[in-house]
Amino acid sequence: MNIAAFAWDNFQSSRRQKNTVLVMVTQGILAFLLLTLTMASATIQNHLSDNLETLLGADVVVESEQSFSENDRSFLDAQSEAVSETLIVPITLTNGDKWQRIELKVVDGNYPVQGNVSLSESATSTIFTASSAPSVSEIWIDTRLASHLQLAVGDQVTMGDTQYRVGAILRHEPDRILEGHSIEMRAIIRADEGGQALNFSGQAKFRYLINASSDQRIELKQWSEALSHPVNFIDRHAGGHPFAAQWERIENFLGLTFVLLFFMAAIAISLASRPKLVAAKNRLALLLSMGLSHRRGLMVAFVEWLIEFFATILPALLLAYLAQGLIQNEMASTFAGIETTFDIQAVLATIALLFFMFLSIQIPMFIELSKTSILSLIRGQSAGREGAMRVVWIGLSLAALAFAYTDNWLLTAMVIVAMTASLAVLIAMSFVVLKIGALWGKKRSGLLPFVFFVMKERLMAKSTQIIGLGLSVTLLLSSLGLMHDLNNTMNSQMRSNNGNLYVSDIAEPAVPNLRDWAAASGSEVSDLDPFVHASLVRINDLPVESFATQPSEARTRLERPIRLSWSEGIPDNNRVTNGDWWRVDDQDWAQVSVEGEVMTDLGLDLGDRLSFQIGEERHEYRIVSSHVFKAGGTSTTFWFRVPEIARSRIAAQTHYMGGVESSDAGWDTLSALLRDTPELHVVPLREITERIDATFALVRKATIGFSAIILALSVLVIIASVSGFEADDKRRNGLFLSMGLSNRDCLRLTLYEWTITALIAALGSVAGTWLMGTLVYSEQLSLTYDPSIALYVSVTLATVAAVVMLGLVLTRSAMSVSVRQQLHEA
Amino acid sequence: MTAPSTTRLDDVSHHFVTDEEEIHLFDQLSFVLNAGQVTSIVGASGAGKSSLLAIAAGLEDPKRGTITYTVKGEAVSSADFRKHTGFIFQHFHLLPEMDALNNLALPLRLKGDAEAFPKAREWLELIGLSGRANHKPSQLSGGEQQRIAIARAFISKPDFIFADEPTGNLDQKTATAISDLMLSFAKETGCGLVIVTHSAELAGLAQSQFKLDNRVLERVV
Repeated sequence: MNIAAFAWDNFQSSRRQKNTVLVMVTQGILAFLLLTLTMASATIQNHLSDNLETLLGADVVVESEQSFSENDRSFLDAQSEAVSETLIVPITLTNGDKWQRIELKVVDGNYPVQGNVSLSESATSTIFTASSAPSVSEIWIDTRLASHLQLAVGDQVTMGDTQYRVGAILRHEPDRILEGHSIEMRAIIRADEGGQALNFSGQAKFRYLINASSDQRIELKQWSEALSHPVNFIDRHAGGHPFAAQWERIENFLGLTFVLLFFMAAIAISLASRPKLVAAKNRLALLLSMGLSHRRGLMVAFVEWLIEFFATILPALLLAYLAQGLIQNEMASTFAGIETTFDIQAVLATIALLFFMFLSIQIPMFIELSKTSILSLIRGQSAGREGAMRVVWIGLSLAALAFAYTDNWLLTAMVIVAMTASLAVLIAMSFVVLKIGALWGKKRSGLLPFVFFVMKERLMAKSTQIIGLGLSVTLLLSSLGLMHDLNNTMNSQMRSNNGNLYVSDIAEPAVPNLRDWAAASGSEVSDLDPFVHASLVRINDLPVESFATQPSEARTRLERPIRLSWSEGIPDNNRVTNGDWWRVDDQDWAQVSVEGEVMTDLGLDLGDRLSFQIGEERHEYRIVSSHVFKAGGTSTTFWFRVPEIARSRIAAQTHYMGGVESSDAGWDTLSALLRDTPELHVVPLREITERIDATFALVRKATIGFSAIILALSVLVIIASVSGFEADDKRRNGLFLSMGLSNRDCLRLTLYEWTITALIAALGSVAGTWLMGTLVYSEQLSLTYDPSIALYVSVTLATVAAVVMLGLVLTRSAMSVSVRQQLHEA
Repeated sequence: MTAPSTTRLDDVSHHFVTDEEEIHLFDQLSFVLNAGQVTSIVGASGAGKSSLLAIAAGLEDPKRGTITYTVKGEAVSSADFRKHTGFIFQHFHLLPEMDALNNLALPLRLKGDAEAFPKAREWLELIGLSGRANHKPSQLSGGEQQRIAIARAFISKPDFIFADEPTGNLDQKTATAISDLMLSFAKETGCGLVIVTHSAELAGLAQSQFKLDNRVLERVV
């Protein structure tokens, strides 16, 4: 006997059956998503590493938030073949009444150390290259800046007290990759022989482009790790693209969502596989009675499953390849020049993961098949424990998937706990409602009491359906609810901003300029919050990344300097959630209060010591309290606040931030203010709104996409939960018809049954969603959980309607056959 | 005294159509089934006995001819007639997820009988299975399952019971016991029992015996 041929015949006869199609479509959707993610990731990673090779502009780049000492600088010169120092400062460039916040690169005479700068006379003219920096009185501006400020080559611009001539339009620079994917407009000037070109008192970044041999690179790496302040060290020869870590986090987050999607797919596949198992057992028993051995019988079943698997994977692979092409087009604006990369190893690894996951769901089936005997044809099939086994294997597969992708075990654990709690709620509700319903109907007549009686007797089967439906609706509600709440959060952030112009950063010496401008133009400056720029460098004497090992938004943000503020009492817009704020007369200056989310993200406790690099000095503070935002007052909440008396011990420039209500005259004269004070950073509220809208649009796209996938899988679960028990329902309905129940009453019976099933599932899912929101929202997403009753009610009603309609349609089609045939078929 | 319930077939013919041909089962049959009587129909496999039974029971409509149903002298529709009938199947058709007691109580629960379970217990006692009340069908032998199926058919005291090869899946000894059970219940309840069977022995126990052969129904007794 040819096992493969026999299995192929079996596959051909079963592939058009409803439940087989369900299983294949469900597997196909999951495979398509995971393969698309793998292929897109491979393309991006390849692009990034290629970028690193060609766009770093040096063998090694060292970036620091503060300048190096003379000794360090001498070391760099000694351990390199060439060094170029660049100062990167955020300033405002003006032209007449136009102004634009830009990233200004102040380069030295050694720039660039590798490659050439691409320039042109205008945005559309021919590109030429330059192998040196602009002359001291020249500025090169990028095409967007030139367009925004309506500047052309030859025009003059003023920054502070210095005038610059626009020497060329900047098209590309060799160290372009280091701008990351910043959307800031750029310009380059050259420092004069004395050092910086500007008297700049704002926050700057120092970048050193270094050409070095392999031995020198080793020395440089060791030196960078021994420095007292944190630096970013990138070696072109050792990989480590600046964006690679970010992309990896995105990939891990998406992979984590697959845990949820796989959960739903597993439910759909399990439900649809029930009738397949019955048929498979019957078929195997018959073949055994014809002389086939158990071993060969199982091999036939396995090969048939394998054929089904590849019949799913191959189309999914093709579709994924096409999809990642579409995604690549979308990403072209972020990753210029990106090209498709087919990483066969990564694709095969993903296929292997899918193979393991789908096989895990079916292992209970193979175990049950192995117990099949010819006796089952004589005595009938007994109920196996396949259902319970499936739960175990699905759990193992979920764990494997989570292990493969997650980098945030806390979030993963919370989601799994929330889903498990939802599951428990659904099981409990099924049992309680059906038992109470049966008890209520015990001495009553009518269809409804009869329905409860029948449902209670079929508790296990009904529970499976309810759980499958309930978990799907939970995920759907959660993702729709998340979108709704994100929207509200962002809107509330917008509403809480004061004024129509936000001063993001103004140094203390420039504050009088601002106030003069406000007085002259009739504008109003609200209270400005003071701060100093500080970098968190140590927690309890450990480097930050050694203490806070879990990746998080806070940890990522703390790689750059933050704003450290101070106050006497608790600010109006904060409330203490843990510990005690310092008293007004407290002389202990070494205290700090930390924002709640930061505490959680970094795993901080009261009593932990935080060391900040502020200017040239290191300051250590002890955490005494934790605070969160409270409505009322300004919208600014500082992550770190120290007592007011600590300020006198900090030798650094004070900066301010706050809202301004600019008059019409104020808008007209704002550019003059910015020209005189280029390091002043202001953002019109409109721009903040646009950025929030852009961010939200991106989030909304992603959430809609995810919700659509959940919806598709939910529909499959509903279909599987109805069709998985169709044969049982047919037989049962046939029996009831033979007992005198009319067709109409049978339909009513079905209506009641499916309505009760759907209602329990829907109500259970509302409870599950509440659990999910409570657990995950505030802990991981920093969102206020604000469930929308209207959303929950509408999704619940839609679910109930869909389930009932589908149940009725399937029942009706079964009853169009004569009762006798129905019993015969059953 | 009320008139007995009846099923009257007048010039009934039936056939079914395959891809290639029309297969005629019987032509122009006329006979009457009365409650209170035991009637058997025998015939070779494929003669159309089960189809005739289904038509007489109101489960299917014949291709030609008329059927008149009366319940206690009043003419009723086939749907209403079915409310006064029960069925016994060759393959028992107990619900696998319900135990013996619940399977037995099913028709009474369907009719909203508040005393469904006490009555079911009585019938379990009658068929000698009171100790198996909580056992599922998979834990019962074929004979035990068929006893429950028979009791289930009789428990709601129908006017007619239609039995389709009720002993077809049973050994000789069990078949005899089942036959005796059915007939004694029919006598006690006064319902009309219509049995389709291969078994000459079972057929011979009926008061009216018919044979379906070559599309013709012939009265034997």
